Amino acid sequence: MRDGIVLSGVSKTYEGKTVLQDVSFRFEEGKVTAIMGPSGQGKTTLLKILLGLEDCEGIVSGMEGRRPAVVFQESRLLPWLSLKQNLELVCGPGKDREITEALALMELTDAADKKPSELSGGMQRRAALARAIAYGGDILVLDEPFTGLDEALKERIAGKLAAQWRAEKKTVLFVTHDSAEAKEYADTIVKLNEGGSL
Amino acid sequence: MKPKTGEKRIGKKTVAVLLWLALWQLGAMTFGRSFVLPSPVFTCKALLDLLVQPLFWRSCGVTMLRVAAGLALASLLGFLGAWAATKSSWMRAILSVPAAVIKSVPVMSVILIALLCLASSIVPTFVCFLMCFPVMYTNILQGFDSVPVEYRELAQVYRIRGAKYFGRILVPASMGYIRAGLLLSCGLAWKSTVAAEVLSSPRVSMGYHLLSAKMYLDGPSLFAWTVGIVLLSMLFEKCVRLALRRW
Repeated sequence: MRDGIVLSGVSKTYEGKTVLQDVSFRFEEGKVTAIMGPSGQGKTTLLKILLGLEDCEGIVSGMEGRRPAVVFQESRLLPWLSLKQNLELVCGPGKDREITEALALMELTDAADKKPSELSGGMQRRAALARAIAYGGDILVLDEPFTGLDEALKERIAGKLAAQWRAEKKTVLFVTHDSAEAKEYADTIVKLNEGGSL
Repeated sequence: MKPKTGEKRIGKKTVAVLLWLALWQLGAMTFGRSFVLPSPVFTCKALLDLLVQPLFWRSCGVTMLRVAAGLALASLLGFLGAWAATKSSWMRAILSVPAAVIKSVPVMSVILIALLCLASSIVPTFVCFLMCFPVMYTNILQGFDSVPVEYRELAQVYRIRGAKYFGRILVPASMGYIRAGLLLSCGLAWKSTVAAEVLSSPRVSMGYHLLSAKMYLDGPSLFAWTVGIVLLSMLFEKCVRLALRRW
């Protein structure tokens, strides 16, 4: 069992503007953690630092050798591939069952052969979630995963996902603006304050 | 019933072609010497005469093969070069020199230098490759450089690498630039190949027959071969466009 992900004194500055200031925290293994905070306070930057997409001052440990499954702030589906092909691209060969199950879980089975441009914004969001689920990494990193979904659909899908995460003791970090969403689905809630401190 | 937009466009194109043909006819009638400026009718007759000769078709086929081979080689090496340039700043610096130099070297210099060291039948293909390579390389590299950071990050976190990254992300995301490079190169490939054929004169080639017609002051033949080249070049470009549409 891993020891979780530890941030020690993490700071990030963009062109003179401090986005994160001396952030220290431990994301516990096997738990769902919600990251909240006002817009522009470095939530997405924090996720990018964890994923190794941004450099920073300070130390990030516990991400080495992991296979993160990610939902970015934008859906980032490749427009020249069908929905199913988008999933196949990240999953690799021999993952037909996982892909079919993820599409079914996201209620997208009928849209599998459609191109992203033929899907609504909400469907694209679900497709990005399906991609991360089908990939099945050992940590889920989700940036506002339920944005654009209508309330009923959000409750249904997020409920199913949260139950699955708890059953599998999955390590999940997700960014949200919605405090009700954070309370309902997360074991731990962390808040980024103005000025980028935790 | 109003004509559709497509029909309107074809109608305008036909009128434009007829207008230029009329101007050509007028010029030929004013000039009055068919061996220098034959009329469209004379040219058409000469072209019809050529169409029944097997040598015409063989020459067309061989020239087209040379163009296709040169362009294919330029595209292949353009892809490999651009891929290498995205991987290493050293490769980028090394390849930027020939790409910039070849762009500004006159085609005639390239042909004459090539004639010093290569067999005359190879020169047209080589010259075509050399003229098209910088265009293909530059466009493909520009395309690769412009792949959105979002896709790069996606590939990084989901570990999409190597041939999979190249074939499923890099190339499709750069397709606009690759398409532009190929279409630009099509015209260049024909011009440089035929120019090289004229100077290197391999027996079976459209360029050789152009030169022969000029030497015998056979204006209608010269124009007929030129029209043949233009038509084949347009057909070739059309085929490339159709192939690109599948992407």
